[in-house]
Amino acid sequence: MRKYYLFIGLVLLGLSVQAQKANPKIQFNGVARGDMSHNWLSSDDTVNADQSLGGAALVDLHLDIRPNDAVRIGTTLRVKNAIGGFWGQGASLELREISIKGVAAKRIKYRFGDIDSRMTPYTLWNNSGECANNEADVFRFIREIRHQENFNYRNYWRNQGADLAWRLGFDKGMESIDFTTFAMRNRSLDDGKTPDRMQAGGNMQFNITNHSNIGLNYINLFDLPKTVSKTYYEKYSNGVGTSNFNFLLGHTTAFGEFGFSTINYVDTSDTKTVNTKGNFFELGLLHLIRQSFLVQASFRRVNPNFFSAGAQSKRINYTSDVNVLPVVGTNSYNRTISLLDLITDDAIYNQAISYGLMDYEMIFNNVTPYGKATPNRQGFDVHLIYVGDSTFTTEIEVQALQDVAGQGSEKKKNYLLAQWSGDVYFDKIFGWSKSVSLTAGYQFASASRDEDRVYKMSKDLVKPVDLHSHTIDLGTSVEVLNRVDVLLGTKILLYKGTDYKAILNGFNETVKYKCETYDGSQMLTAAGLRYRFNDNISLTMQYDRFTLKDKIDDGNSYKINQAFLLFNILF
Amino acid sequence: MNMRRLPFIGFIASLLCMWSCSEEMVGPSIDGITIDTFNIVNSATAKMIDADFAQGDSIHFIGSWEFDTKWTITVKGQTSGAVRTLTGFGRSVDESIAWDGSADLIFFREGETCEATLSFESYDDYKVADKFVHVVSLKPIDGIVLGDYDEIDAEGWGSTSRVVEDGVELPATQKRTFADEGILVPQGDNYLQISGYEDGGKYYLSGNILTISEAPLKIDTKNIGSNYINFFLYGYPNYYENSTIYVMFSDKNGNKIGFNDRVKITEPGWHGISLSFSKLKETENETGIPFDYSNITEAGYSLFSVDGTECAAKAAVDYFIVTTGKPLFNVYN
Repeated sequence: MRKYYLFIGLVLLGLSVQAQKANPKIQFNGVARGDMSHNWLSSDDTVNADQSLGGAALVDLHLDIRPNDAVRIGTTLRVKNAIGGFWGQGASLELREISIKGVAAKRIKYRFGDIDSRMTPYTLWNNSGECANNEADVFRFIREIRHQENFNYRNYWRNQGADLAWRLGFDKGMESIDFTTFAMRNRSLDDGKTPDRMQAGGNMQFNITNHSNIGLNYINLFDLPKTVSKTYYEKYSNGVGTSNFNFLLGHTTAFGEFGFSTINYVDTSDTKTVNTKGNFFELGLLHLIRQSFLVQASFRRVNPNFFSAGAQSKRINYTSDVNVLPVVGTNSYNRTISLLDLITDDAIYNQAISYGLMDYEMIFNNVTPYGKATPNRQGFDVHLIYVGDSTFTTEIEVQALQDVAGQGSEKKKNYLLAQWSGDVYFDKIFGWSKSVSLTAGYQFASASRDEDRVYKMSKDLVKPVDLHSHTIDLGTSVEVLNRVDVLLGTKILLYKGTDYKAILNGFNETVKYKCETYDGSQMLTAAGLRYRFNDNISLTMQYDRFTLKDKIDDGNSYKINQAFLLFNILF
Repeated sequence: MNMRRLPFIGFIASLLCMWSCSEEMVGPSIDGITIDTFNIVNSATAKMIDADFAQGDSIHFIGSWEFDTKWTITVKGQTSGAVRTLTGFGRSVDESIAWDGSADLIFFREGETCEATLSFESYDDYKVADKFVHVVSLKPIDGIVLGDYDEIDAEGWGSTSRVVEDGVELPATQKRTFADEGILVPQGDNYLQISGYEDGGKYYLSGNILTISEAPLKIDTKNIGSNYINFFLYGYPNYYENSTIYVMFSDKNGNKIGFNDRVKITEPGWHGISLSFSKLKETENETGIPFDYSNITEAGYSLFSVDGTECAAKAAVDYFIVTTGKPLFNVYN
């Protein structure tokens, strides 16, 4: 059967090529990629499976069909053959995406099918993954492929549904009002008890001037109980309403957002009911000191009960199993997601809006695991951005935050998250014809809370919170010959201390706290060689070495080597 | 004051109000919970308390702790491994909290010693009662036992294709004890392991004819659905997803009813299965006479693979009992 699908796919591919020649209303482009990776443990690990080999060759064919000037149909077909899937046995043909979009009555824009959506950081926002602060090119291009595989385009969430957008213009009073509304299907009927789940919302933006506006936003993740015929059913709803604004006053913009959230849940089978209300606000100023120098300062307060499924769902699912060499160390344990997996494993990505707060890894970032919308945080955020004269850029952001309410203690935790990044383009400074650049990033994350030295019934001492981590990124790209780049990069994570992670039930209610103590480091180093045939075709060979050192239990330490070959074609 | 500024001032004031609102601590205290006392209520000073459950005895508990929270008392049999959990919410338990000898799943044993532990949903703290319970007798279960592999045996059958483990063919059926496989026995000392290899025939792999000692078995036809066949079913890791159980009964005319959907095993370990007779449908009838529920002469069960694909199937069963009015476990749907 698989071979029939392949045959049909190839016929479609051929027809589309013909169609493009014959009819300019149908155009196609796409990506062809071949990758192969070989992973092996260091020779001192004699306990676990030593090696793994993987890879695939694939073609994504994107068809852009324009039946008329007002309608466009986009679809992407993927033909993929896993390395080792001989004679088509590992081959697959899949429809990766399909969408229809257009303009109705020359006024209303609409999209239907697979669409990317985002609103504000408190309503619908796909926060970036962890430890990605200006990383080296040698890691960035691999991570971008993982993002493409999982439809993570900037801060947009990929969903299936429909949206509409239109604008009303005015002659006086204000310039215009923009309306956007959408409805997505979040989950299909599950077990006869769990109904279909939808996410719908909209935005009205009053454009007073070109740079001053007020927005009203509402989004709701909700069940459709009547999709279940049984007497017993669940009914869940998470509504978030906010208002945001930007006012330009000379070289300064005042901005802010405030709003509320609700969780309403009823399970008629065990008569469980949940009603939770939360709120937040953020106020700030953005000042343009020079054309290339921006300063932004803000204060925010996010209530412990604030929950916004669309803004707090994580890009990485930290409960997923890792793909590459999952059992490691002399303890032969199932390793958790590390720096290596954040870069190389596309199976750990989350593609759906989650109705509860997802798990996170404290050593990567325990200050803002859910972005700006992280609940139970209040404090200041200062951000400085300098965009130089194409020779260098740099920016720094410092967030000094505190718990709004103590977590399992009357005392509150203090948090500090500092991120710096910079790029230097030596070829521009010295006027070299071949490109030479240096990228660097640094992140410091810490949580602290003093505790009285009390003993529990279990005789354990209640430990103070003192977890901190440093993430260092350094990389360079040197064009040694025409179109031949040497790529070097390293990513280092150092962590030490203790923190308590809240164990939540399905409605973000803290059931208990788990005390975790860390002392260790992770280091990912890579060296690669890239040949750019032209701007659209490149071949990259790369070697990565990853080391995890656990100073508390050396049996958890391990090293993984990876050789990687990637051939990428855009057409 | 410029009246146009009022909305702006009101907005800022409401945000400051939100900021200044104090919030209560989130979640349970990390300091843990102090347990003042927890024990089994008994006026005697002896550490071991006899419980003659068959004679109507019950065991009562008393305890108090720091603040309101979800609590659990777990009674565990030191020989059987059987467990009974009692739960509630509050900062104390009084004598109204009692254990009548019943178990959550696998049964307690007569003669064994049990210990009780108080624990809490949100804390690691716990306290074991100073006093222990000696089970003198258990309440008899009201029903007709068809097979328990201790006192009431059953006749085994099996197909020719066998499961091979470590180079050894497993018999179609074999009695097992805790010593054989390290698996807790749900009732008595033995359970029955059944296994077989599905080679594409989509036929039974092994099974048993159950003994109807009080023949014929009579089921109240006015309310067939309130009669249940109950039994313990064990899912082995690596096998449980491939294994299903078919249950059947025959009347004096040779007509048969059975559970055509078969009982599936959702996860490894013991499961209590209660199957309503209303779920059993006619499978064979060569006489044209309706199935005679008042004259059931034979019962049995068989092991099948899930979908008839080639695979090894293995499960274990124990204690088949027919009850009326009340299922022994959660009713299987």
